Amino acid sequence: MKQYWINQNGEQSGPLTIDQLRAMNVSTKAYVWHSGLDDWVKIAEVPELAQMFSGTEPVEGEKAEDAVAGTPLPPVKGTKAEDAVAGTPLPPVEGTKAEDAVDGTPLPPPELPANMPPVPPAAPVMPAAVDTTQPATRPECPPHNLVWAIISTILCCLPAGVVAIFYSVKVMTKYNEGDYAAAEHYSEVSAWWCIGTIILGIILQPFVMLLF
Amino acid sequence: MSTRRWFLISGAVIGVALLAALYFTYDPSKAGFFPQCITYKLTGYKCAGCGTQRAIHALLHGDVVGALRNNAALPITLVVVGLYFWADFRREKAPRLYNALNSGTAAIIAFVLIVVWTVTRNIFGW
Repeated sequence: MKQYWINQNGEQSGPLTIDQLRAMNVSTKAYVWHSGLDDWVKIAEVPELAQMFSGTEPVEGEKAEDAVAGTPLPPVKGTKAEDAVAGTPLPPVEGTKAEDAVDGTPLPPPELPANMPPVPPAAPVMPAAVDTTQPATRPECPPHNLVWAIISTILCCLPAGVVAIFYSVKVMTKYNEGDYAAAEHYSEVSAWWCIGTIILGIILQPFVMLLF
Repeated sequence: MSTRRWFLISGAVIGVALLAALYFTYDPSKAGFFPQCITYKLTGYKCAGCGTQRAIHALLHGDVVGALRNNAALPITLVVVGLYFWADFRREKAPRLYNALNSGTAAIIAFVLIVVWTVTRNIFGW
């Protein structure tokens, strides 16, 4: 599960899942960070989180095509940041929260001083080795071939098509987890199972029609 | 819209129209030249798609009950597949529909439904 850290009015919390974030009353002015990001970004600039706000446009290029599982919650009305403590900055959060991190999860990002958001004081700690290879922005989801898998299952009448559907599902679940390399891999696997199902169906069909 | 896309769409429309004409004219349960289910012939068990051709023939003749009797899952499958193509086509205009269909949740539901349908139709002889 992808984990997020949020900094809202100088108060930092995390790690949180996307569902926990949605349950919170987050303002559009809050900043978030997750592994793979170089810096804290505005919450509206994270495509899968931007869906929480109706008025917020997705960042250029990224038309919120990165679907997150489940239906998005109704948008939060209005921004709460204005009536919050704009004039009186809270003291910056002290200390690292590394103790809170569960085993295997990336270290939390550095603190963001309350009175000077957008620019964080230092670059976040790049967590696990796997994450360093990921680009900062979310790549396009590789083709999941679900429709072709369903069509080949039904038209070729072979159990191999069900395997293709299974790997199509894996593409989306891996992509939602943020494991883009695995999503890419399963995309190819599902495509080959589709093609294999269709070829096998075409080869077997004459035998079935003639012999049985 | 690009020329390539127009070619793809018009090709698909012509192909579907030709197939519809074929399945309207000939009854797959009587004519001998239609492909047959490999799984059913080899194992005796029905696959998820068994009866698709007969169901399409029945649907094209307005016989919804006959279609459901041959393959109860076919009408809903047609709707879902059509919806996926429509969502792809309208991705820019209607990103929410696209996102809902291309989330992992929708895919898991589709996978579970197909497996459950294959098992139940063999148990109950649907």
